[in-house]
Amino acid sequence: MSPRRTAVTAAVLSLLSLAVAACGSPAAPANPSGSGATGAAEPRAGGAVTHATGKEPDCWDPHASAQDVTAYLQRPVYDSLVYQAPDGKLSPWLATGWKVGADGKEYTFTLRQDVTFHDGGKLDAEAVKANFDHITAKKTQSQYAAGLLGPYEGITVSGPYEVKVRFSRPYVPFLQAASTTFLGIASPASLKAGADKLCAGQSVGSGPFKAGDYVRGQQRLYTRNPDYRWGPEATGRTGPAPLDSVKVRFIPEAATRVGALTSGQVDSADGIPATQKALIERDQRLSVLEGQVPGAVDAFYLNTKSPLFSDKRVREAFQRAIDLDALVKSVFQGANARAWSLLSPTTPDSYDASLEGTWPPDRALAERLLDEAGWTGRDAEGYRTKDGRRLSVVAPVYGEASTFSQAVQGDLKKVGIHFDLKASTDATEVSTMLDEGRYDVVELSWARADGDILSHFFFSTESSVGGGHNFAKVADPEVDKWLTGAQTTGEPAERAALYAKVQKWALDNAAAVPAYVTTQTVGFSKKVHGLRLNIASWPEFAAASVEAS
Amino acid sequence: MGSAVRTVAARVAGGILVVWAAATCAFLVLQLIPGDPVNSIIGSNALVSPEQRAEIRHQYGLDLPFAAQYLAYLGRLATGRLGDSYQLQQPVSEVIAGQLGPTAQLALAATVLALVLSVAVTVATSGRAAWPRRVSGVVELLVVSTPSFWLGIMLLTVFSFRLGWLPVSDSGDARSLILPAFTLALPIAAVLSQVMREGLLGALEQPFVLTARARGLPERTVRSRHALRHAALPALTLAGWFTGTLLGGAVVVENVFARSGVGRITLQAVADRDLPVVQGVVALSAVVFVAVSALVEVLYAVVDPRLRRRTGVTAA
Repeated sequence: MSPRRTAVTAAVLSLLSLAVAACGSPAAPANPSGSGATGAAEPRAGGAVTHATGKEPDCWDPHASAQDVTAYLQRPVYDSLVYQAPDGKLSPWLATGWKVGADGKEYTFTLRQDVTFHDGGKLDAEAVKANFDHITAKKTQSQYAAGLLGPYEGITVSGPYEVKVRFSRPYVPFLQAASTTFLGIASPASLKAGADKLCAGQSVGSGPFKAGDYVRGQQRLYTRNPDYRWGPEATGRTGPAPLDSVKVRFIPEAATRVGALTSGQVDSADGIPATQKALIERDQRLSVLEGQVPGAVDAFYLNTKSPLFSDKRVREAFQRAIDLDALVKSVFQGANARAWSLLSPTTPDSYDASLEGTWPPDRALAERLLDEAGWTGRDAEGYRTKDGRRLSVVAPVYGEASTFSQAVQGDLKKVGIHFDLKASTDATEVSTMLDEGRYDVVELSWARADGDILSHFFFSTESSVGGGHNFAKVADPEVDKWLTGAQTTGEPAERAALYAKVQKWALDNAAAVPAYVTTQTVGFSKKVHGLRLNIASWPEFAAASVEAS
Repeated sequence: MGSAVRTVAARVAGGILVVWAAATCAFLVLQLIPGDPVNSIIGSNALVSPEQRAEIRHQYGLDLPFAAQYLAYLGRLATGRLGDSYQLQQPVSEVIAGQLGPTAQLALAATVLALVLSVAVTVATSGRAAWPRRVSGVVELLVVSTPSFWLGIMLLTVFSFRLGWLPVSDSGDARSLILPAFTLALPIAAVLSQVMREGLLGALEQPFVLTARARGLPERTVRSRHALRHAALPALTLAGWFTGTLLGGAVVVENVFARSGVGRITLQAVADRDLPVVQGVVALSAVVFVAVSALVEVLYAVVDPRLRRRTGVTAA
């Protein structure tokens, strides 16, 4: 062998051994003391947990930010007036109770009198008013919280521990909105610090954890609030959190996040990719929590006014041509479930389970409908044509088309539909297409633990031009009546019945095609107890504890 | 003396010109990218009214004519106030200043490591035998062609996740600097050692080496004291490329290793179209390049005495 060949071989071999070391050697036990049976040890007070998450809030003020991650990571710090349990039930928290006026437009909240903010300030009616005023102030530039308030008119202090919130029309979804972190109650003194301070994470609330040290791009610390006595009764835990502290680390790269968990460098991690779930489940020391995100599932909204889709037969063909069972399974490897309704099964008092299985994929039906609609010709690429025009379904996409929508594209080709994904990073171009109605399909999802999310999509007034999301361009007096009815009645069963009507209507009229339900996957060490997913399917630390190591 | 002042003044003027050109390019490119910045300010999940949109547009001066926006931008740049970040709602200068420390630490560690590695490899492989050169040539080629993302994940998997020797970044633990610094340094060291070996081998054939050997100096001294200086000159010329690799590499490395730093916020700012932050990072990079060029100028004179009189720069 010549010297050159030897050198190459040696280099290749040394690389190979590196690769083998990476893939082959068994994981060294990071915590040798964890020899006991899983979950047998007694939860104890004290201790610290390190959690890894992928995203970091740009702005930490939930009143201003629209980011899910802001609401998630500020939940330990800010309490809300109302508590929403994982099953969707609303119950008192900072408010001991509430009364709805006879006209349904006024909410009177009575407040707890024993609540102290982390800075020593007391919770009273003025403090709550200061929060609502901050949310609706022009200067706050609220991207989401103000929108959640709907037809909000104002708030008045009607007693030292009583406020009245007024709306221009009945607005039942307000109570659920009030339970989110977006409408969380901050110390009034902290709100005066200015937008930059609030955005930078100088947060003072009354929650079970105080906002501790924060290093952007690195980590956020939460320390126990030892004076906490006002946890929601419904949780069965009203006192201080067992953990001394929680450290949340921002690890954007999923492979690094999972590696940090499997090697014991963090105790829990969220956003576990579908491909890594099995790896974590196989690990004796780890466990997985899963929750379906509530709200509007990922769905295709069909423009019922577009030249192509104003023909209901074509919409129905589109709906039934996609083999969603197979596509969702292959693209998400079992992590996400195929959706049967526009609402996720975890959306409280609104999901219509009777829709399951009612509209299975039916390619033959799709072909027949398209034939009936006159799309009988075929062009050179195998797409259907009518009067020389190709059957092209235009779908504006902001950014890049997802793997899933590309899979759908392939499936639709089988019945001769050209699914034209117009991906663009030009936000103006995309929003102009939407505003001018030059599209056939819009795909999106929207997390919210209330059936009222349907109003954003189907109220006749929610047009894209006005910042709404009625992409199906539905303007049906009956649908409006159901949605307004559900905003007006406080009776959960009645609301559920009305939302069920909307869900069924959307499918019967092929105004939308629900695709899949997003699932949040959290991996955690079995030494951590009491970790759970809240209503929004985010991990919650208030009741968590950790075994002594 | 007068000529020295003139030289320095010319250098400073040149530096300002470079920074201005880079900043202008950044401004123009970001103006030319289609899309409404207001959409990036409010994000895709937002629930806001058209009036609020107009208000935001006004607040950030996006309703001003092009020329007015450009002049305002230059004015902010000159005074070091780079405006407010769209997403973080904080002054850009504060955002960047807050992230400079970790990146400087990483870049410095990587630089030292790259220099030590490349000098060691150069000296070790420039002997009489040819095979060490061949081996290191192949290894260097492999390292240079490896994407730093993959290299970083591999190092993490082996040394952190499997062997548990080193932690994934943790601001309180200095050991967490080791793997990121290696990931950033390895490709640089590979190129440097290639260039320096060429230079060293060339220098060893020069007459002054023969003289040195004839004076009875040991081979080690001949190589490290005399010949290596010559080899360092072509390597110094690479400083610009080197700086660029450090800045670009920091973006990848900081994200893979979950380190805070300028690279991390740069990636986020580009993804969120946070224009003021992107412009700030570009301006900062330009300043760094200018400073590095000036430093290289000085170092040339230090390394090669022949250059001292001509440039008028005195090496202390």
